[in-house]
Amino acid sequence: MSPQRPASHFIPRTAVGWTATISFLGIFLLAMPPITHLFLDRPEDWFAGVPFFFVSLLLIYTVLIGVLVYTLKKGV
Amino acid sequence: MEPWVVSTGLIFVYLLATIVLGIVANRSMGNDMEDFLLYGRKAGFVVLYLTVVATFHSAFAFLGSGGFFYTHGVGFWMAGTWTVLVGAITYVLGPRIWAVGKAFGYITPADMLADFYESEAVRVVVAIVSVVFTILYIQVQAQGLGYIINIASGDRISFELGTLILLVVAATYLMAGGLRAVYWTDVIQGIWMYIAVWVGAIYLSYELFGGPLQLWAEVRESRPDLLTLPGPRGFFTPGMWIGMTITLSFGIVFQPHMMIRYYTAVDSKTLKILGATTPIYLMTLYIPAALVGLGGAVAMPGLEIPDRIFPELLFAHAPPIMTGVILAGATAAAMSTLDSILHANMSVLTRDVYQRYIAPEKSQQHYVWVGRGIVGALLVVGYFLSVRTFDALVVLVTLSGSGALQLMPAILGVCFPGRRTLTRLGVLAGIIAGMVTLYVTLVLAPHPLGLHGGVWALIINSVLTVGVSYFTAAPSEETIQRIHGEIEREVYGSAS
Repeated sequence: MSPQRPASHFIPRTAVGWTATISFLGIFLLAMPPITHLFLDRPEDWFAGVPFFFVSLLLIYTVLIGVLVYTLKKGV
Repeated sequence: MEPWVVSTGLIFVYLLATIVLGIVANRSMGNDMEDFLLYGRKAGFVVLYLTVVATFHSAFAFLGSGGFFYTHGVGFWMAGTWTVLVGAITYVLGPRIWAVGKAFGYITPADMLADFYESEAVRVVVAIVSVVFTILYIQVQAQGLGYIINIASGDRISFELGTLILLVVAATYLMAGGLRAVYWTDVIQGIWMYIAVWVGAIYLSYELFGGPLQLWAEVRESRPDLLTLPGPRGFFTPGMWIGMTITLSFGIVFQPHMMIRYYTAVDSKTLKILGATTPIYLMTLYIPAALVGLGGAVAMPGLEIPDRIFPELLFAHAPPIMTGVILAGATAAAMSTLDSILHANMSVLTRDVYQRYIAPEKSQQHYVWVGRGIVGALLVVGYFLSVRTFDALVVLVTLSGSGALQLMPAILGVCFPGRRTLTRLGVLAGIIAGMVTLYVTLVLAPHPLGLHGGVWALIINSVLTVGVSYFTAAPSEETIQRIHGEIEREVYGSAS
């Protein structure tokens, strides 16, 4: 490997970069199996007249968009 | 006035508006390839936003998603995962692709990959993948359009004639104004389809149930099987959930009609804003789709073709003018994807085939006219594919959703400088192995062990790409420095 090549882009270089990456991936996993099938799939629970499953995923998606907007605001 | 007259009339008003826009776009365009194929790399946020969301959401999002909720239940709300992921991919990859595209004059995805891997074989393979796996979407979208106009006219306009009319309209404004016409019409289409699906869903929920909350209560009462995973037919297994998330995010972003949009942005900041905000539109469009599909399963059970639930409910319960406006929105959803695919195929065939191998030293104006001719040819092919059904095509359509996903390792190798560099032989071996695996895991033995076939292909592809790259020659140091240096400057402000 040439020493003049850029450092790896797969690893964040700033604190904000680390925060954004870990937050996005961590929260994204909440919308993935097994969380979805074991913990979010609760047909007996409802929130404000809407199934818990639907509301909880909507919340997760909204927070993920919030992470992207936060990253944008921080200029990363 | 009869409902079908209103519905069909509104669709034709909409089609007329798109042709007028194509003519206006023609008057403001220059006679060079960058302007015709890439909007002169000047697309601002609003235009780019609406063309990306309108292109991403096709006839499937408008009609098929309602059908999915109708058949498989609330599990389809997983669609939010891939819409959010598309935003993140755009945020991270978009500026990198834009930077090298602008610096080195790339027009197609194959331009970028062939330049970095220093290989004409890579160009040819990527161009083939780009065309083969998207040309079939012309068929899918054109068939959707034919069905919409057939439904709207109450069978008075045949499916074949409807398909022909809509293909001719899309090809006409594309030939007239190039990508500028596509973008401008996508602005209308993006706004129209979003309003249409929300208005239609809210209206139907009040008309049929007394409101969205009552709709949910009614579903809970009479169809509780639609509110649990994996759904009434066991579709949303963990493996399918993960597989659909990957194939419908990365797999769609890496299709040429989406990737080319990154080249066209006016600057990289626009792409970051785009990445952070497009999921809002993409994800929230599935909320009214859930109301339509789940409510429809209660109000109109037993439909033979579930994808028709939205228009069927509208014709049964909505006033004609609203039905017409909403079906015009469905037309917009399909046409905004169709015109983008026609454009992408035209770009690949003009740039990667004609200019590269048939007539390399012609004028810019010559290539613009050749591009127009290719659109005409694609129109004929698209129509022929749409009105005839071939068994082989059904197989290829099954493959198409995961085809572009197989470009992922190669694209990441360009856009993400790392400790080791992928090689042309590694990339070629990976793509070819991915295609073969796709055929096995989607057609011969679909979704082994419950994991989506596209993901199996991506795993085999990635392992082979990295493995072969370890033992074969990397691109020249000059090329790596040139392209990765540009990405370093774009992302971190200076080349280290």
